[in-house]
Amino acid sequence: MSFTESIYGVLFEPAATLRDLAENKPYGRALLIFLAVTLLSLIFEQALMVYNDSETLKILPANAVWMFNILGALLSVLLLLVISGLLSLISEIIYGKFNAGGIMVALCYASIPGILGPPVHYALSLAGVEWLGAILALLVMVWVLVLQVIAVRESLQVTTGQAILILVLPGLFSLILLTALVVTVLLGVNI
Amino acid sequence: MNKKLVVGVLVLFLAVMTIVSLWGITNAGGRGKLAGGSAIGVIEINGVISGETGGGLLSGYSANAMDIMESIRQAREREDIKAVVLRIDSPGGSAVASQEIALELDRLRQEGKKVITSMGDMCTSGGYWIACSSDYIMANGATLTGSIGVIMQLSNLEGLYEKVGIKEEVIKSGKHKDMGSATRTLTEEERRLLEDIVGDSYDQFLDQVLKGRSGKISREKLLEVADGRIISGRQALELGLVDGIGNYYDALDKARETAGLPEDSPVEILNGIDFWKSLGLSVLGELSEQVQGRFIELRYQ
Repeated sequence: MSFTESIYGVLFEPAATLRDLAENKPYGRALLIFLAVTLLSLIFEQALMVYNDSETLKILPANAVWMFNILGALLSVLLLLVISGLLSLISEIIYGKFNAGGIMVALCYASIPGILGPPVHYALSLAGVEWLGAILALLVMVWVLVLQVIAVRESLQVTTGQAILILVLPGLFSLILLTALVVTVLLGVNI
Repeated sequence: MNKKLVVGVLVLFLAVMTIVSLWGITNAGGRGKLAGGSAIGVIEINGVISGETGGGLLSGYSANAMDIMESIRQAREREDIKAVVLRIDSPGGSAVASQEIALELDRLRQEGKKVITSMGDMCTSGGYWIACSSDYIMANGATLTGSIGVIMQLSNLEGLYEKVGIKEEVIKSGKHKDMGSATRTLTEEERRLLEDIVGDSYDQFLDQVLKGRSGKISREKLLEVADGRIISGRQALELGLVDGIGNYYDALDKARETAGLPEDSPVEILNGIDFWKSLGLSVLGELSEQVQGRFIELRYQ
């Protein structure tokens, strides 16, 4: 599958395209796309912050803002690897199906529409219809979430419901842990 | 063909928006320019005043003279900026950098634009030098200011070099060419020459204060406190070294009042964030400069 076909496919024929990508696993290209999406989003988000005269930019030293952004971008790549492995592990435990590499590649490609949200938001802000930009950016986020579900579903060959459960479980587990921690602290229990 | 067109349009959109975004970030200071309107420009001087160009990870808390002068020039050129508030929170720094900034402020005032200084925690030495080039100085009661004086610090590492077995061979065109060298003690003649420089710079500092505070403090009274001591904002007011006590917002109000602007006139920070410098790309150049070192530098601090 060529670069053009894969981009077009993720946007308009996501299920078949992500299945194909999860099977063939073009790791290098997938990571490059993920990095490009992350770094470009970073620039667009920064432009939006400047446009909105963000308080964050005033509170933090300029260098710190960019250091945090770049560190965040690098961390997101690491997080992608960890999440891919974790989702595959959860699927293996529950459904006996695993494909960490495929999930990683599919998730990288699933992030592609995410590159549209911030620039559309910024462009519409410049045009004076910021509210419309914010709504569209939100819709793009939903689009990416849907693609992530499809990516997991097609990579592991499970149903949509099972894919949602696999995606939600790490968050749910973290929430339970966090709640337990907060309750422990609030009750003053010594660990 | 259709797929290529769709992806092509997408890539083109992203490329255009990347350029627009970078332009927006880089020109953050110019955003909000008012067509036919009037605004107050704020220039922040935070940290040690330095003449070094560039800025990176290590320069988060230094006030770069080049950047500040550029902002002053911007205020001078922009018709919508009617007054400038200098927000100074600095212990001083390079004598030359302070002079350069003050000179640029004088030029701004010659254009008829009012300059109001708002002192933060500290506005001493070089910071006070700069403040003297404004029409009105507002300090907080507990602001540390003053420190009118000049200092030159030299390190004599002769003993250390002897211990580690380093002996410097000097070939020089004149007897004073290595004046201030860290490898030997100053001669009496060299000490006198350097003291003359410090004395001359001190006189220049006094002249700057007397010019900026003309009619508000006499030379005699100034000499009593111009011994390097720091004083509070309230003491400075009693001495005539500042004009009023108030915070940043009072300074903005004063700027509006002196420039005849309405109460709701907008405020724009002129030396905002610099995109490229904030990436810290110039950090290696800075380190190199520090290693090469300029062993003599006059400092108002």
